[in-house]
Amino acid sequence: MHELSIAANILDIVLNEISSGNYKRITGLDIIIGDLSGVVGDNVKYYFEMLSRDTPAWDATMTFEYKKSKFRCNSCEKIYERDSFSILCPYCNSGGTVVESYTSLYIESIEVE
Amino acid sequence: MEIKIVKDVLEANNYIAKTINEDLTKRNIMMINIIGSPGAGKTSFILKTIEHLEVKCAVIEGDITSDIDSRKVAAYGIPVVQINTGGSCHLNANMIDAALKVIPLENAIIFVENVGNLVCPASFDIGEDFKVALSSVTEGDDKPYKYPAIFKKAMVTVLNKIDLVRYVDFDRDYFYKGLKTLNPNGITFEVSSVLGDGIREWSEWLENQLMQKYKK
Repeated sequence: MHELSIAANILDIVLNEISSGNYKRITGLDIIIGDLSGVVGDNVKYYFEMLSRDTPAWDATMTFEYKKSKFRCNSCEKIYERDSFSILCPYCNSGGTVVESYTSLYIESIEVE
Repeated sequence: MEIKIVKDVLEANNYIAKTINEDLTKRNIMMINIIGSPGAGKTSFILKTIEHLEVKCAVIEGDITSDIDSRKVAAYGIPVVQINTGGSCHLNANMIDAALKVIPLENAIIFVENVGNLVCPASFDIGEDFKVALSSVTEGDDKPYKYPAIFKKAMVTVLNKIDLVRYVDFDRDYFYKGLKTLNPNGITFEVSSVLGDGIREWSEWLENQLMQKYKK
């Protein structure tokens, strides 16, 4: 549900961006989501559609790129990405150590007219 | 036409959080953001900790509604501010900024009890010095696997209700394997907020952190 606050922040940022650049409307947004951010893209999209109604961002296409954190297995030392169900090593089920982590969420670019 | 922005979505919140932390630092205050599930024992953990501390303390209670927790804290004579989020699932920096205006303390520790939730509060910095993930053995040993964001971001993880571990199916090795995978340098404590086990070690570590902050 925190995606409601996040969607409101995204809307503030992009509306500010188009008013300062004198553009008419936003047609697209590219968002980067870290897989350890705890944020669900579909939920952000749902709330953004709701909040952006009657604004120049209404009907903009929102696309998400998920950055995947990388771990090194403590036993077999292979580098692996977290899958949807586990943070353990998919090769030997040992614990690992995070070597590259993505915990944030940011707007990469917007498409304007 | 494409415009590159590359802006953190939470930059407005993070700016307020940074300002709060700078102000608290000037007042020699350390603020701790305690995040855990409903029923993890956040309030009793805070109360037991304060019992062991020599330094002045205050509490900010975050709840969707009610003042049940703040009344418990006030009964011990501890300064407390209740924030009712009115349905929102987390505290943000703005709410804390307003609450801090009614706590005129210096040289103190402020405990923020976030809304009971392991998901949403993990995303929002509130000006704290560090986050504490409070998990209890009765919740199960799978919490780091199910809620990786908070166990990754919390500098400290406290495992509460350790006195009950013999009665529940809790595999410590499994819990710590997940936790250390996400947060290899994280600090951990095991406590019982009811019996007081482990609270002395945690309180001493906390006072030491405060002293280190003063020195800076």
